[in-house]
Amino acid sequence: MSDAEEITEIVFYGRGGQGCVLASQIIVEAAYISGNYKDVVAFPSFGAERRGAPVQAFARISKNKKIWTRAQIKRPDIAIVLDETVITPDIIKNIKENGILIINSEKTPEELKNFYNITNNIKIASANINKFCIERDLYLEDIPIVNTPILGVLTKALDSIDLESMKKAIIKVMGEKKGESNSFLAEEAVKLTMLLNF
Amino acid sequence: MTSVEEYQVMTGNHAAANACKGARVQVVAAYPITPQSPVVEKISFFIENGELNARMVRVESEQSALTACVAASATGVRVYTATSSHGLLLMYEILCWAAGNRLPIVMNIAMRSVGAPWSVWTDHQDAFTVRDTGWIQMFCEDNQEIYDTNLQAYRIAEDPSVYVPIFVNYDGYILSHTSMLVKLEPQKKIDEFLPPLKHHLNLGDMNVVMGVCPVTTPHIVKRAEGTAPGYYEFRYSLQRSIENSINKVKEVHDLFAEKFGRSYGNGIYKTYRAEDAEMYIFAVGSVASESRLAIDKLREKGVKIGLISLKLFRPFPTKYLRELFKDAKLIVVFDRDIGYGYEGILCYELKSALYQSKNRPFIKGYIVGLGGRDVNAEDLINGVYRAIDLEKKNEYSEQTEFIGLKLDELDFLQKEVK
Repeated sequence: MSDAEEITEIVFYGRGGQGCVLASQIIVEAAYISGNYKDVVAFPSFGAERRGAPVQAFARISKNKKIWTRAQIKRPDIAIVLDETVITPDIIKNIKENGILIINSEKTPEELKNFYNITNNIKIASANINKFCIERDLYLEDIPIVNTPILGVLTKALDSIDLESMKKAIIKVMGEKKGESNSFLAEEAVKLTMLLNF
Repeated sequence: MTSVEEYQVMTGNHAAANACKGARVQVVAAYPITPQSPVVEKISFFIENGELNARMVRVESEQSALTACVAASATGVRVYTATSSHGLLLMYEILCWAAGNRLPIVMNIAMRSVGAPWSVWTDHQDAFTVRDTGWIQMFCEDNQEIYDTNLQAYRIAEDPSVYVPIFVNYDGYILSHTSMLVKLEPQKKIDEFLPPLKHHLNLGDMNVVMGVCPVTTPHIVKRAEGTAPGYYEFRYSLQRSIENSINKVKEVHDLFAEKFGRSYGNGIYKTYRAEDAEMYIFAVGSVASESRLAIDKLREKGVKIGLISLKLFRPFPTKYLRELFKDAKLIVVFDRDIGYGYEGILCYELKSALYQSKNRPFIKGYIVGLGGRDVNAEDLINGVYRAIDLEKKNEYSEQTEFIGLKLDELDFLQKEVK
C-alpha cells in the first residue's frame, strides 16, 4: 500500500477470551500517548466471536497522515500472536518485509525460526508468557492473562512506543485499579523478551 | 490532534452516545440490534451514573421504540434513537408518521446489510431503503464526524423553518466498532451552540387543544375556527421544508465550524484532491474514505481524479452537484447498495440530477462491498481504469457490474462450466 512508510499495521492473533480486542485498543492509546503518532485506529474482527475460537484484532498507527483506509489488514507490519496454537503458515508468510513477529511462546526466536521454517526477512520477539502467568497464578476466568504482558514485549520490539506510554495507556483503558497491576505485568514481561534480527 | 488530553480513543457508537449526552437528549427509546447496540448501552450507562438526565424507555421492538420516540417528541422534548438493518425496516411505518408530524427526532443508523441471507455486516442498503420517508439524511466518514454531525442534526431538525426528523448514518462495524480519536466538546460550549428545544408541539400543555395525526381529507375543510389543510397541502409543506432545509444544513455546518474549528467540506459534500480534477469518484461513508487512497495512487500515475464524498443525501443537493460537475468528463460512482432490477441507488440519483445539465458527464456505476465484503483501494482503482476505458469508447454496460466478486472460486460453478 502507498502509505507503507506512514502507517504501521498490526494484527493480533489469539483466542476468544484472551483480550485481543482490549490489547488493540491499548496499543493505539499508547501510540497516541507516546506523541510519536498523529492518528490511530483499532478494530475487532467484525462479527461473531466465541470464547476459545481463533480471533483477530487490528490496529493502524500513523506518524503523520490521517488514516482513511477502512480495508482489512492482509499484510501486517507487526503480527502479535497471543496463543501459539492458532499460528498458521499464512500468518508468518503475510508479515511484511522487515516486519515483526511478536509471539507468546516457550521457544526462543531461533527455535521458532527453525521450527516454523521462517524464511522471510522478519524480526522475531518471543516471551514465555504462559509460564510467567502460571508462576504468578495470573488467571482471569481460568484463562492466563497474556494480553497486557505481551504489550510489554511490543515496547521492547518497537522503539516508537515506549514502556511508560504503554503503562499509561493500560491504566487509561483498564482503569486505575486493574490498570496498575496490569501495567506492572507489562513491565515484568519486558525482562522475558528475547529478540532476533533486531 | 495536538494535545493528548484533548482527544479520546473511542468507537463510532460511543461517539454517537457522547453526542447525545452533549445534546442533553431527554428521552431515548431503542431496541438492541447488531451493530447499533453499544450506542444505547453507553447512553444507559450515562443515565445510570447521573451524567445524563434522560428517560430510557424500554420497549419490545423497533417499531415500539420509534413509536415511543414519536409520542415523546410530540410532548416537546428532545428525543433520540438508533438502529440498524431489519430494526430500521421494522420502523418503516413509524418513520413516515414521524416525518408527517414534523417531529425533530434524530436517529443514528449504524448501517448494515439486509437479509436474506442473514448478514450482520455493513453495507448501505438499510439507509438508502428509507430515503423516501421524509427524513433528512446525512452520511459520516469517521467517528469525529458522527459526534459533530449528531450535534448539528439537532440544531437543524429543531429549526422552526425545518422541523423534520434526521438520519445520521455511519457504517456498521467499520465505524460503529472501530476506535478512533475523537474530541469531545465541553458542555458549556455545546449548550451555546445547541439551545434547549423550542418545539411547535407540546401535548403536555393542557391549555392548548391540539390535534396530532387526525384523519385528513383529500380536500380543504372550512371550519368555524379556521380552514384546515388537506393531506396534499401537508405533504407539499413537508417537501418544501426538506428542499429548503439545505440552506439551514449549510448554515448550521458553518456555525459549527466557526465555534468548534472542524468542518466537513461545505456541510453538503466533501472534496479530496478535486481542485484540478477532470474526473471524479462519487461515494458515501466507508467507500468514500477508502476512495481517498485510490485517488492518491491514481494521482501518482498521473490520472487527474478527485473525490466527492456526499454528506447530505436528503435533500439531494441537485443544484450543488450540477455546478460541481459542470466541467466533469467522467464520474465513477461506487454504491455499497443496490436498487434491485436497476442499478446502484447513488448512481441513478446522480444521473437524474445531472440530466438537466448543459454538460452531461459520462457516469459509470459499480456495486461494491455488499454484506461487508472488503472494499479496498486496488479494486476501486481497477474500477476507475475500466470506467476511463468505457468513456473513451463511449460504451455503456447494460448490466450492473459488481467489483470484488469471487465467482471463479466457487467450485460448483466451475463444475457446471466443465
